[in-house]
Amino acid sequence: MGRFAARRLFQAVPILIGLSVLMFAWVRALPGGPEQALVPQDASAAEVEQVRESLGLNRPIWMQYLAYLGQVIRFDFGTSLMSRQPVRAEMLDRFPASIELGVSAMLFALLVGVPLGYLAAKHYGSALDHAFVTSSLIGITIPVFFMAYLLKFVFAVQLGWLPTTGRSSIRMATEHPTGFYVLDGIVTGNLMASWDAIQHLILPAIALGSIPLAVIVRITRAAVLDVMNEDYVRTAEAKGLLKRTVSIRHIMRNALIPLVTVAGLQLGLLMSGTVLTETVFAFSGVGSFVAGALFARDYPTIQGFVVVIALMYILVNLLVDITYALIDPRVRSAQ
Amino acid sequence: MTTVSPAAMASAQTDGNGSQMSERPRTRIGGGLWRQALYRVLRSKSAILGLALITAFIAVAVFAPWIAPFRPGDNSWLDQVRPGQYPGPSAEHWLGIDPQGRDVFSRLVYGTRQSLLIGVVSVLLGGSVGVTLGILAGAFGGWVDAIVMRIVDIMLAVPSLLMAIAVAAVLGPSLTSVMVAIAVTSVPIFARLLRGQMLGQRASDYVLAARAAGLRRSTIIFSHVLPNSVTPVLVQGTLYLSIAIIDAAGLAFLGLSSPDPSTPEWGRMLTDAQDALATAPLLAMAPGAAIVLAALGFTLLGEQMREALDPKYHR
Repeated sequence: MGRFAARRLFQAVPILIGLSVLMFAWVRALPGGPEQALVPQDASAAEVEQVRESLGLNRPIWMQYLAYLGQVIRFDFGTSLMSRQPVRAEMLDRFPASIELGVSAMLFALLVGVPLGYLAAKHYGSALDHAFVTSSLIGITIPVFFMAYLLKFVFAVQLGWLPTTGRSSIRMATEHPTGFYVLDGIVTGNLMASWDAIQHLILPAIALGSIPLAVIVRITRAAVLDVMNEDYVRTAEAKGLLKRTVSIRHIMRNALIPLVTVAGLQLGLLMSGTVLTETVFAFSGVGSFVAGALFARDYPTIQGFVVVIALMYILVNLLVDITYALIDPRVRSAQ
Repeated sequence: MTTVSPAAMASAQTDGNGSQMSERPRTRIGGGLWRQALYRVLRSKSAILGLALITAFIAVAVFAPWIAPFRPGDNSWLDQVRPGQYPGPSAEHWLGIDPQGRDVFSRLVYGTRQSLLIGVVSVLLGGSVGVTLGILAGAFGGWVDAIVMRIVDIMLAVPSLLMAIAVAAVLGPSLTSVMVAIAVTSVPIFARLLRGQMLGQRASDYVLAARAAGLRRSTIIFSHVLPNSVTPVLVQGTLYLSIAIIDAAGLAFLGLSSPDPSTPEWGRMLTDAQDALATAPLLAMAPGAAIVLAALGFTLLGEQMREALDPKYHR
């Protein structure tokens, strides 16, 4: 198992190096080149000179790249043009918010999608099955920002059940030792703050979760259909095992395997989705920050965030592969 | 990008013994693969629905000047618009008037052109680059394959919307940059798909037979392996048309589409209408429905094509 993980980790190295080359080239392809793109528009000549100096723009290109690589390895992505804060500090602020949102969205998608997919498979060919499959198809074709706006309009603006924007209410003064607001409330013993954070998470999580939901319903349905007719399921039923035992231990355990891969692949889409969802709900996470950076032409921020998001994506896929090997012994022996 | 790949969904559906196919009578059909596939597609209700939607949208796009009662940029009705109050549907303006005093129905009709254009151009562009990379990897194998696949891995490591944002930042906001951005995100998907297919075909017996018969490698690749590998790429292309339309809306929402606000585009119409959701919901619902229906058309057709062309389901 350890060797399997180590080898997968090693395979990520060339991807990361390639990515750094890509981002390095990207900054140089921006209109005006790096010296224009990486300094504020109202920068003084001295500031421009300082950036030229730190980027080493007078040196040969490969030395510039090595200098850039050195910065990336130290997670030094320069200063955000929008907030004049180091990009790294912005990341520490923003990532917990988006991770909290992403995990909630995935939880929503799994908690709703797996039972629906299971029911559709159990009632294969029925009206229920068709209804689930068709609605998942329509769900997939609704642009996520439109879905977010509809949810916000109905449940926050019209009905007033949930807050419209942000991560917490203004009057909810509390400390944030971890940056994960739900967790912060529990850690500091302020459960009202946790509840407040959860209320702010519900609508964005449902909007974002609608992306993987449709796929999870269909994958679960397909996987359960595949497994349901296996001999070992019939054997388990013939042995007189409880229906629930067969469902959980024999059917769902095996249907989980494709589900884990697909859920993992959805994370990349989830990260794309956060840009749109967070913007609609003014949720101060990575996505809304990157979208804001785009409007403000804050290229150091975009550059830094893309590298770190890609790094996280690679790590998550690694985790998915390892989970995959853990739940399916065949994967381990095949390696 | 912001959407789930209908491809993933289609495979999800087919993995579980595609429901539509198994319900059909098992008639023996003559003719080649394509004729059989056409026969099967035409027998599927959801494929017909998809095809009908696509045909309708193409017709609207082609005949837009005859269908639309007004020109999309015509703002002659600006005097009827009050802040927060926009004239609703009437006999003259079927879908009402937007905050800029333009006829919504006419803009929706002309917007079909933009959406289909973005879809077709970006898929053709991304598809041709992806297919070229796929052929390189699949035909040569070895170090060429290794290099191409590493490039693909790098492209896949960046979430597609971020990739599109990065591309659009270099090119500036325009319709072209939206098309290029969507094309770039599709390249790794096409490349990986074709390469996988070609590797699978190369291992088959008929390729061994062709090699034993002394055929040249290029002949084997282009006359035998490639034609047998290209079907999933066509299916993916159809499915990607729906992704392109949805993603274009997302990019318009982020302000990356054409800088000219008079350009009639569904994504931008939807984005602009959101502040008026309470007073004039139709302003947002109309382009929203258009996006959903167009994307649905391509997804339905693509999924049924996949099943019809896959011999696995017709044994």
